[in-house]
Amino acid sequence: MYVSPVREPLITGNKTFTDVTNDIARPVEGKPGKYWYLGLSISSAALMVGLLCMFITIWFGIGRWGLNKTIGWGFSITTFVWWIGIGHAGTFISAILLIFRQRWRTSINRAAEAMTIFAVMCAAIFPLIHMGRVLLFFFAFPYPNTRHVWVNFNSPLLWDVFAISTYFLVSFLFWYTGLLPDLASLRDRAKSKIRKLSYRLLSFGWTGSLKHWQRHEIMSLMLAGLATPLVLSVHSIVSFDFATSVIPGWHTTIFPPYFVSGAIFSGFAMVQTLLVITRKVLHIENYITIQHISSMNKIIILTGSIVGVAYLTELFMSWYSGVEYEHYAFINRATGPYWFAYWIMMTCNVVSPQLFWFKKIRESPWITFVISIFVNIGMWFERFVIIVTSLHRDYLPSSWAMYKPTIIEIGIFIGTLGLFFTCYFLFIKFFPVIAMAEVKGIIKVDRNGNLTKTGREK
Amino acid sequence: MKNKNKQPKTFISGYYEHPEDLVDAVKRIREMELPIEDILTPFPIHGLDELAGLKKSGIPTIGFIFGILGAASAFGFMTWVFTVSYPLHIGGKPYFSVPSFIPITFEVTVLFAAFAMVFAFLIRSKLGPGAKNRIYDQKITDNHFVVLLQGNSEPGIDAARQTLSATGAMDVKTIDA
Repeated sequence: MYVSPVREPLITGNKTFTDVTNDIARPVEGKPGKYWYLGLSISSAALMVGLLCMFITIWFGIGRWGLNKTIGWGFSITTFVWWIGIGHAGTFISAILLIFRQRWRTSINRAAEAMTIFAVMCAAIFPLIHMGRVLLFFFAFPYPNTRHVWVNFNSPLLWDVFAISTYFLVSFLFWYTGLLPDLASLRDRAKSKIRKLSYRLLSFGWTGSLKHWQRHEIMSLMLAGLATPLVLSVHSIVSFDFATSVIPGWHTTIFPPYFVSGAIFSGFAMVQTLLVITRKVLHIENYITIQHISSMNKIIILTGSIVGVAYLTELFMSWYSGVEYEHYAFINRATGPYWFAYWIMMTCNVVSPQLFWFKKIRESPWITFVISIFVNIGMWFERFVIIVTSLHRDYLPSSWAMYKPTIIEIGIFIGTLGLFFTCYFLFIKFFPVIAMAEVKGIIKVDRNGNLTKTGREK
Repeated sequence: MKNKNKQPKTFISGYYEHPEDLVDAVKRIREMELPIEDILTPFPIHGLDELAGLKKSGIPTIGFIFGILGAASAFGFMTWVFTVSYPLHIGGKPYFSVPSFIPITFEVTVLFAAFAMVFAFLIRSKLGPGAKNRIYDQKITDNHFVVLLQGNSEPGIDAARQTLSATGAMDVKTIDA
């Protein structure tokens, strides 16, 4: 194998092409272990709890939630924004890192893209049931109707409908077209009839032809080019849901970049949470190496620091603007009834990622796992702070109120966690977790893109 | 690359285990001006398409055209709805309010371009659920780099076999087209 004088090899263990196929296909072809069954049982149980709570919400109405006239958005929109944010890391890895030619992305892009799709699915549940009458969700699309009205194209909430549906569909296309060559690998290795038939259907008759690869390559590059502004637009538009209103604490122009970096920050934390476990359980430490974990932690430091600066800028601007309502909103965040949410957010998002400056911590999978959980919690509280704390103290003290989630809202949140992990467990069982074809492409190529002598020399 | 006028009767195939062997072999085959039917590889090899004399793909053009189409239809539709079909006062904004049409215009542009490119890729490559493409070697998706040459005549077949063997191809065989 070519060994770069300045960089560690991306894939360790001196792998040949066949090793790559065997290592990645093994978990798909073998029987799942007991941890897989345990994980799937817990997550599908959580999903059932969520389905029950969704049923209760739809049957009895939104009154089963803790919302009131002042605080119209609570747990559900907080969690919606949280899930959408988590999805962003997948697109960042597969699209932005592709454009920047970061070859280490090939080991993690497949799982991260799958995570994006599942996270967006979880996110979409919340605005849907928040509508109250879920069956009328199609009112959000502009179609000719007997009511003779159209949707409001000036509304950021409608932009969100378009942004999130486009994001979901484009992410899915990107992920699935990338899967085709690997599904063909599984098809060609399949022993049983059912396996062969299912992977033949799923792999769309992929042959590995030169012309197919040529089109596939250029299409992936173009999709990456489109997905890059798309991913930036999605969370910008989500932030417009808040920024275009006149609530103190929401009405700021810093929101789009602040939300986008927060999204990538939380998304990478979720990728770490998943992959630190996955690499151990599936024995793919040679593919997702300490170097990958370390590289992702560097992105967490960067985006986490941007988020930290954004928090401080908001604080500064609330004072510098001289607007008493803005001023009060931020004092209230830190010292008001929801002070704990603010300080959880500050500790988890601003302080904890800074630990990654230490190389020992950055390269320790288990500390990374713990910090990634902290970041996930912190980013959930960030959205809670933005939404609930800003709403509960309005301009008029007569409308001030408090919000407490009901067990139903918490149940739906748990349900989406269940949905996410159920999908992830099924994904790692039936699909190759690592993009085999792409990994094979990087183990033979040096930094200059030259083909080099291969594998184990005889 | 494909010779459309003549349907070859047979293909001569051979496989390599190293991508650089394949690249060297393709160079040699091109020098000999032997007709290449296809090259099948486990992963994309950069520059091989040019080496094999393949034309550039038209997928970016399709993406561009459909992107423009998406942008025009989204912007045009919103303009029509808010100025002709149902002009409505919303928060004192003008009926024809360009800035607030931009987000949806952008999203629809991306949507159209992405779908058009993926479908162009699938249709042009004859890929899809249930597609029955011939698989020449079960290990192409693992570690075999296969070259398929067209055999139009006896001397052509011999020349192809010799070139493949000389470049180090393994399992050189003649198969029916």
